[in-house]
Amino acid sequence: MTEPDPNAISDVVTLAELNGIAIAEPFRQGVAMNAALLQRYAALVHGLVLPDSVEPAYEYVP
Amino acid sequence: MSHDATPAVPDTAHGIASAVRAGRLKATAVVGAAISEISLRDRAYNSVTRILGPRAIGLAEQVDRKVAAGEDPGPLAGVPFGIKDLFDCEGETTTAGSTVLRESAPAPRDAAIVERLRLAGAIPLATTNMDEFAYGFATDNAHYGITRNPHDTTRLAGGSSGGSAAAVAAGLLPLSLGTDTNGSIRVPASLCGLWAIRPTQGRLPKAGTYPFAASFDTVGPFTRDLADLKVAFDALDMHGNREPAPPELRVARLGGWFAENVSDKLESAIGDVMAAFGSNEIVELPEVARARAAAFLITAAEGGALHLPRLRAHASAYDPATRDRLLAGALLPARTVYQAQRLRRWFREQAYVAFARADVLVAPAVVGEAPRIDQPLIEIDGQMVSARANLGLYTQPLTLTGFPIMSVPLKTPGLPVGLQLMALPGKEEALFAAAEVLAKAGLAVAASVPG
Repeated sequence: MTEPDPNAISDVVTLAELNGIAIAEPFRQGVAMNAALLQRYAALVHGLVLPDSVEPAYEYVP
Repeated sequence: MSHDATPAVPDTAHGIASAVRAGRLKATAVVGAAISEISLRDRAYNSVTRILGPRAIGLAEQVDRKVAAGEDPGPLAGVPFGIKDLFDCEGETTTAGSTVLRESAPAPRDAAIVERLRLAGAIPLATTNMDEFAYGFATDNAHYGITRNPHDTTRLAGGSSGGSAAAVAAGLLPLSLGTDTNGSIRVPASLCGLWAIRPTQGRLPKAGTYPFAASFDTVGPFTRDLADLKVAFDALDMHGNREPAPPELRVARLGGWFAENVSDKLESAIGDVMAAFGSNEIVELPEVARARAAAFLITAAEGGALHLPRLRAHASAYDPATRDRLLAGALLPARTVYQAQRLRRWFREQAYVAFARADVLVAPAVVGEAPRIDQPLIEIDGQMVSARANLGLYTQPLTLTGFPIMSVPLKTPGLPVGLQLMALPGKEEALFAAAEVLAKAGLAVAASVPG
């Protein structure tokens, strides 16, 4: 993982605060790096257009 | 040696049980020998976190009394086993590899699968090391240390069930239990050269198992011997309805994503495996990178949500690598988790399609041999990336299906590498039949520890 820029860290802190989560200063860089990784995975997941009929697998039976 | 010396303890679980059941070997002697072995040798591996001595000896005495009374002590009589430290064990605190749970109350009873092995006569003997809260593929734990691969102690054992895998690979125990969320049974089994199975999701009970990503978490056993894996699975699946394996197995290899980044050694071994099955059939699953992404996201979201209340109060008590990933997961928006869950259902449907021409699908479990501890990286698409986060390259996408997958130790020169065999839900018997073919062909065997 590459180091996040200061804006990315600020964005994560803001997002966390909006969700009622205080991220202590020493943890912010690590959380921002992981958040950036998850954003890349999120882009992959959102990049696949699925039919509206595909329901989420909350009640999971293989 | 005197004539009344205790007979040597067999290497296999079924060998131990056979000797104990026949009265040739005392369960107490088996347990005593295992405690001695762990005490003497585990410093090199750090696979065990606690030896459950007094209780194990008490349970062994019960087994010996049953044998003396002519009662059936069970198919795993006297077999000591290891327990990943996220399964409840009566009278012990379940830490899940953390310190934040270390002050929790002791478990009032065994986890369901611990109880099932105990009812079969097996003896819970030790808790084993793991990545904190099972979040990782390395068994590199900030609180309890790193577990070393018994085949080369300068290398990772894999994780997160690495302590369970290493204890069996080192010959300290014949059987252990782990959990697999994204590959936490299959990765360490492969790097340590063991047989293991992640059964159909939901087949084995999770009661008394500390969750990680609850909608993926699956429990299963590790062994050095295929027959032992079958005996253990039978005991764990005590009420399961078994679908027999088809008389003629149709086997295909998973191509695409699962044929990229494979080491030369592993590629050669997979070629031999397919030849043994007389198949050159290749099938592909679509959108595997997105499937892996969905597994990542669901895991991060579920783990993050689970731990958030505790992270608010005790963030600094977490392993930094776990903490940062969980906090990032807790920030994922609902729309992303929702889409990941939709993709999960879609991918599962694609997996059913892939089985139209096969009963068993073959895929590598890892890209290659265990990474070095001082250089915990693996090469993917020409880039060196973190082993802890990426050793599940081939296991994580298949997690999304919930289908049963066996980890097979391939017979190869050098350090162990493993294979995944996947079947349709409920068809574990097909996996055991395919594994038997590979074992009989001499292509699959648990790796022996040097020295």
